[in-house]
Amino acid sequence: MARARNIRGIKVKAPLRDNARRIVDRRLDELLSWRDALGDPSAVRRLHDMRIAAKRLRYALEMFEVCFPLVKPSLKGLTDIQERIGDIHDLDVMTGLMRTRLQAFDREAERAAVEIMSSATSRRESSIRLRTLLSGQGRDRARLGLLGLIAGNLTERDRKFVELQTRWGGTALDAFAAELRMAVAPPQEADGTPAEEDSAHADIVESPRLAAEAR
Amino acid sequence: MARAREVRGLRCEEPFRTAAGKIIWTRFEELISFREAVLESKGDGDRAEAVHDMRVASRRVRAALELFEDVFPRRQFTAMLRDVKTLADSLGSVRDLDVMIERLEKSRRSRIGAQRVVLDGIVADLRAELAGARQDLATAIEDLEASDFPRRFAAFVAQSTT
Repeated sequence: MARARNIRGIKVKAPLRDNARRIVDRRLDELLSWRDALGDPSAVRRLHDMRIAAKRLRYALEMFEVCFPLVKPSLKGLTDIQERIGDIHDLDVMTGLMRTRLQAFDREAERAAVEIMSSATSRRESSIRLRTLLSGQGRDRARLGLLGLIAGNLTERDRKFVELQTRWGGTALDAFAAELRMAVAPPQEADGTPAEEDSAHADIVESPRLAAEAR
Repeated sequence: MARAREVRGLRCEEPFRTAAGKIIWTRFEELISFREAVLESKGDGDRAEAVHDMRVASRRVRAALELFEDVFPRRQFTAMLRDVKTLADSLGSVRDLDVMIERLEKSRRSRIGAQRVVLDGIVADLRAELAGARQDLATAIEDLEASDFPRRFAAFVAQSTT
């Protein structure tokens, strides 16, 4: 799990609201930094990090909700991200458990094959016995069961990943981020007038896309 | 999942430092409120729910500590965070197994015979692992209490936030 990034510029004597805004901004940046995981179904680790980042942002919003009453829809969005990625993560864990068991079958078969190769008196005998071993494996119910379960999990994972992409890919995360930044922005900024002195929101002004949206 | 308890008297205009005390202490009280349910629930379902609630509470304490890190002296902060993390990890081990067992058992209903046999085997292994994880969790809680953790934590929060 990626460690939470430090939040610079916290002033412990300053009002909670000012620091909270900075924290939310930073946690949101962290979430967005993992967004490329949405384009890569094999990015298991990065997807997990994205889920953790969503969780950190959600906890921060929950903590500071008293200062930013408009963040409720963002909280729902974060819960949705967490749950979708969580489902995919659970499937990955289950598949891992099953693969470990399947590998145990393969190791067993390897040992049997070694025994065959070392004890067979001719190439013909070893060939026949290896074929028998393999066909026996093919009929093994536990092995078949495992293969079926793994295939089922992978199919379900693919489906859930597509659903995640459909819901949060493309510009959906940008829209989410813009809405959240507006929800925690100082009043004059939320009205559309940029706040000059709020460095926590410097990236809103610096981002051409968000600046364009603000216009 | 239990909703986070309201932090009483929290004001947006108050200094970050005093807000830290209110938030962290509320989250910590929330955390220890689940102790009895985790250690003493009889039914598997009740215990699993209590572990889930306590785990979420431990994550909230951890998240709060990390967010208010600047308020505390470095060494004390690191030690407290480590204790909270130890507890959170123990809760996480139990919770992850509870979730996995529940998912596999639910999945079993719609499976064919050969797959059910495999799932039964996996669930049996996970249950054995769960018993060990529960024991580890009980030990982690008892160790923290033996080291006077609640009192140390209260002093740690009070010293830097009032």
